Amino acid sequence: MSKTITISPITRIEGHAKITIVLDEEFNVADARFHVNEFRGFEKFTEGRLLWEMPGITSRICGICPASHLVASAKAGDDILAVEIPETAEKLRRLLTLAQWLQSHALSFFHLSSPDLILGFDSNPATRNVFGLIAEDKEFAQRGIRLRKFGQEVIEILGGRRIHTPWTVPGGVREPLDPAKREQMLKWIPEAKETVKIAIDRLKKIHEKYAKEIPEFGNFKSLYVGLVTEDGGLEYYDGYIRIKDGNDNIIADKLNPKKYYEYFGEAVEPWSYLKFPYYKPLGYPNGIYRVGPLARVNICDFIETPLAEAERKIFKGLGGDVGVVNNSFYYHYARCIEMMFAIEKIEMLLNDPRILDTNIRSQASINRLQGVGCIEAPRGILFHHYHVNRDGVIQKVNLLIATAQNNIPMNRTVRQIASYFIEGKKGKISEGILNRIEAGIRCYDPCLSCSTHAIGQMPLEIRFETLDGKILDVIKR
Amino acid sequence: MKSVLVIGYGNTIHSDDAAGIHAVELISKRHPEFECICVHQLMPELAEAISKRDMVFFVDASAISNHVEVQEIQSSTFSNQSYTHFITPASLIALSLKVYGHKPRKAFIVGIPANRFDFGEEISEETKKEINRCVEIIEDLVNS
Repeated sequence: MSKTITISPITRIEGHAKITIVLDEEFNVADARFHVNEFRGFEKFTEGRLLWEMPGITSRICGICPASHLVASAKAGDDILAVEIPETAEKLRRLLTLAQWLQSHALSFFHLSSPDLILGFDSNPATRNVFGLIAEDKEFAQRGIRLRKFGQEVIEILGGRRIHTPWTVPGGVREPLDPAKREQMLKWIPEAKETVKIAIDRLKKIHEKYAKEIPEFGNFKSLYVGLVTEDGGLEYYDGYIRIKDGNDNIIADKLNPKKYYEYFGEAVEPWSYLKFPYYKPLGYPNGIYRVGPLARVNICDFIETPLAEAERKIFKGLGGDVGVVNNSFYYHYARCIEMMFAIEKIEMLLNDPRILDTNIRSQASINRLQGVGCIEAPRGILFHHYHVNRDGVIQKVNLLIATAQNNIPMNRTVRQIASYFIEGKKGKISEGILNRIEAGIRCYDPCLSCSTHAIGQMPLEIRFETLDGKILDVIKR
Repeated sequence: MKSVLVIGYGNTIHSDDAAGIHAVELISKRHPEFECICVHQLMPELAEAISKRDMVFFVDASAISNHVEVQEIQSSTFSNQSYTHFITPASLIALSLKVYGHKPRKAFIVGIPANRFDFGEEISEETKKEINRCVEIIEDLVNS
């Protein structure tokens, strides 16, 4: 009799989701699916609103990465106004984008993934969390909290403390940077660099500890998509789309992000509200691609800051002869490299005297009836595409978010881990194995955007079912 | 004078889900002496601000009550939970103690009845009344 195992909801990712693993009579994995059950309808909701409201509205999609939506939305507005924003405005937006990377990556690495990595996948689930981490290494946990706080403080300094303030607007930004605030931010830099150095050293030891398991942790070839600079460097705010394959070949380069819809299609499946984007020339599902830290560090030729570049070279070595790192476990390493880059680049931007210039906004009215804003959000490349009428009223919206673009790879990762740890092992499935499947998903740090929140705990429930729906077993944490 | 922190949280484009935010904005106008923080969701770094206050209120929308509910967070309810994207008020109190060595003398969860959570920036009339009631209750608790 075939069985279905459902893990619902997945813990320590943003939003609501569950995993179903379908096993045949021999306990071979017949299918594995990462479901997203929350339907948001956000794109429809924004129709009829004014273009200038969009940054403030779209930033409220998500409590984790509001600044990314804020900047992408403002860039779509720039395109519709057909303006080139002042140099200082771009620098300030870059600063905000990097602070968002830092804040979000710190949450992912220190709070969500470190309990698995440091305490161990088979450690007591009651203490495999941030509290267990504090008990194990209080300073490490404190550093993680402070690093996230640094990113959050930069966001608050630039945008104000009120949540989702639309400081970034079409044409530039609303307020220049106060010199005293610049000094306040610069004071964080030495501690932040030290924290990420410690994290990277710790992570390298974890790579040794899990050397046998890592090859089964979402290790497969796919395309990698992200932004690079004109000369091939790591980019996060502007630049061109580059696509590499799983053998380190550049298959497309210098693509204009504003024409994303020509390169990427979006398939749908009846069992998930999350779309399944793919690279059009290869079709669905062969056009599978990964975005986010792993993709960005894989596709770039260099990183412009020294500490991050030194780590990138070590990272590339993990790809061996292939030259590209195809294992999703190394999302964590790539994330740490990007944290270092973000800190170094924030320091560079703050030390640029032009960051204090007060020419920060270009004024214009509607000059185009559609526009695209594209940036690299923490989890990957993000597109905001708006159609407006001549009064600037939104007619149509399309948002292509990073988590959706990693949808096919997440499903493949679940299947690979499940196959390795479950296949043929009849009987009770241990909590540690189930947590490995969840940890496989957490490599991508998916953000399913909590639209509401809950007071109290959300139980983890695993169900064993037959194909006709009969429950064979239920495991709860 | 008591050192008070009031944290309102919720999504401001999901109608009454923003009740906690609206209540805390109202409190911040009436009581500039309080520290007031509005957030989309609770996050670990709030533990530092919490550790510095005598009295902390977590103000949120509630879908399970028809009147403002106040629940004092007792030490016995500190949850050692693993869901940090849904970090609970009790866990934040525990985090403030473990990481910063201090927790508030008193901490409360204040739930405001919410009627609708669909897309929109308007608060329902019923919830508006409860927001005002919530502010009065918090003032009474501070003054008691």
